[in-house]
Amino acid sequence: MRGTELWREAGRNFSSGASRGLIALIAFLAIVLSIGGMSVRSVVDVAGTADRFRQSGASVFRLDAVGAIDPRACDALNGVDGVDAAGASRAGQALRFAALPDLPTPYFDVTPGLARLLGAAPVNPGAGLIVDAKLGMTLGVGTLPTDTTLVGGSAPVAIAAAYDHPDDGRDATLSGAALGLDSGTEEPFDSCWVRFWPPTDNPLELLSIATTEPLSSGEAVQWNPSLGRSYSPQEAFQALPLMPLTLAAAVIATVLALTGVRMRRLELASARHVGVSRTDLVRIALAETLIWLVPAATLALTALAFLAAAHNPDPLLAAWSVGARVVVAAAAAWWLTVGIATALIRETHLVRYFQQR
Amino acid sequence: MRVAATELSFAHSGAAPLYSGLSFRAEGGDLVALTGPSGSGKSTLLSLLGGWLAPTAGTLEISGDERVALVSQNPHGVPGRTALDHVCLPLVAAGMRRDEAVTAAREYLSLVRLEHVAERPYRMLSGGERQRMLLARALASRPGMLLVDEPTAQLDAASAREVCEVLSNLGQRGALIFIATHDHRVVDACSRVIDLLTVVPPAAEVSS
Repeated sequence: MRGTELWREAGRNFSSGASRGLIALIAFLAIVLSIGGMSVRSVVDVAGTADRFRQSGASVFRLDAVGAIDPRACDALNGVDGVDAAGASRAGQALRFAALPDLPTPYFDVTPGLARLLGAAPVNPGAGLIVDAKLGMTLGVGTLPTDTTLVGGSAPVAIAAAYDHPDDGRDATLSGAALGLDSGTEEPFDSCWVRFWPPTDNPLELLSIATTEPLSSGEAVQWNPSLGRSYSPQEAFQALPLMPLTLAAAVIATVLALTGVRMRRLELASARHVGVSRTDLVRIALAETLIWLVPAATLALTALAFLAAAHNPDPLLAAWSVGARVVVAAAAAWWLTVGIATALIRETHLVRYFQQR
Repeated sequence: MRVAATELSFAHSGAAPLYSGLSFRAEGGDLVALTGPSGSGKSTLLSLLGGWLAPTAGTLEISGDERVALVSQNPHGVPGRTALDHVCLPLVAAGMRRDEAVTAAREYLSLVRLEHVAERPYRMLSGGERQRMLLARALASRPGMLLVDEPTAQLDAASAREVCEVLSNLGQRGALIFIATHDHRVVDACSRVIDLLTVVPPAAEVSS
């Protein structure tokens, strides 16, 4: 059979409904969008959980050692593998703002690394105080940078930046506090803060590097323990049943493709009987399948891309590729099954197919 | 194409023989009616002639390597495809371009008096039209032997008469045709008769 006639025959079979292409397209989309969608969303859920864990400060640990933390060593932990941010703090004398004369505001000297950890960077040293955003609102300095004044002072105090400190279970040390950036000090600090990413089970091992003297005892304090001590996105990802889901999609596609060919076995055997060669019959069947499979797969991949992008804190590629794997596996299984099953149709079974009808 | 059956016997597994010692010869131009009551083995003999079943005893020699085409008792086609599409398929499969195949297919449809329904989908054809269309499709595959199973079983009198005329014409054109039937109108249109009622056992009676 000529190539153009082959495609024409496949096209006529699709447009006439003989190949049941529309039903197959809908069934294929149902499989890959349900199973692929489930896979994609499970990956997005892991990313979301990891992001919530990270945003909540659950992966931040603090080592308290009053007057025994080397601020430079603590800041230098920023360059260590597995450390997302690190910085030191030292408690200072509480401040009294003119707007809140009766309320002492906790004050800390902090290194630039801690400002970054709190999300208040970039801040130039000497630019002004960094305050808890809620405190900033209370002081009436909602739009930063701005100035305020201290009790008994006449010169304005600059507010350079603010950090969020929601009441979500995190330790209250920095709640409602004002921080002063101290980048050049040689004097020891009181605490070293490190945000590990991915989270670690043994934060003390690294935190103890920042002490000025060997640590005899100590405990790493988790900033926000409300979401658990640790969370491993990698383990959570590996625990997802992605491979079984992909295999399930391929198996269902195989069964549906087999069913489709079986329903047409009399028609196909009849075609063989009137002279269509096995090769041509297989080529027509594969072409018929491609006619609906290519747009269906394209549609599915596009839909899964939107699904992977929705509420995903990470780039969509990782989640989308999981769904794409389902689509490719199901499409390949369907296409190959159609080819193989059609090749197994025998003209000599024509009478049997008639009797089974 | 020639067919020579010698002392042919057939029995389904575990069942009594349908016939034994059946002998006959036929060649191109013969229009052979296979008659007998239901269960006498008419359709089975068509399957033996088509090579889809093997005899349990005796020999069945078929000379020539041309195609064997079967037109079933219960017509089967693709509901959405037109009569023309059905008849074009064997022609396109043989290497014709679509436009060439359409011209030839219309001639085959004309042969079975169906040119007026060429563009009609299979699902809209009557029972008789389906039967004749599949006959045209079988002929388009250019078989050396045509096997037709109960061609008038589900047809009204007018359709049955038309099918008989078509088959009679085909016989006169030199085709070797076996027709399993219990319709006397078809039998009357045939040049030879194999009555399977008389060969359960010992032997077939072949009358001219």
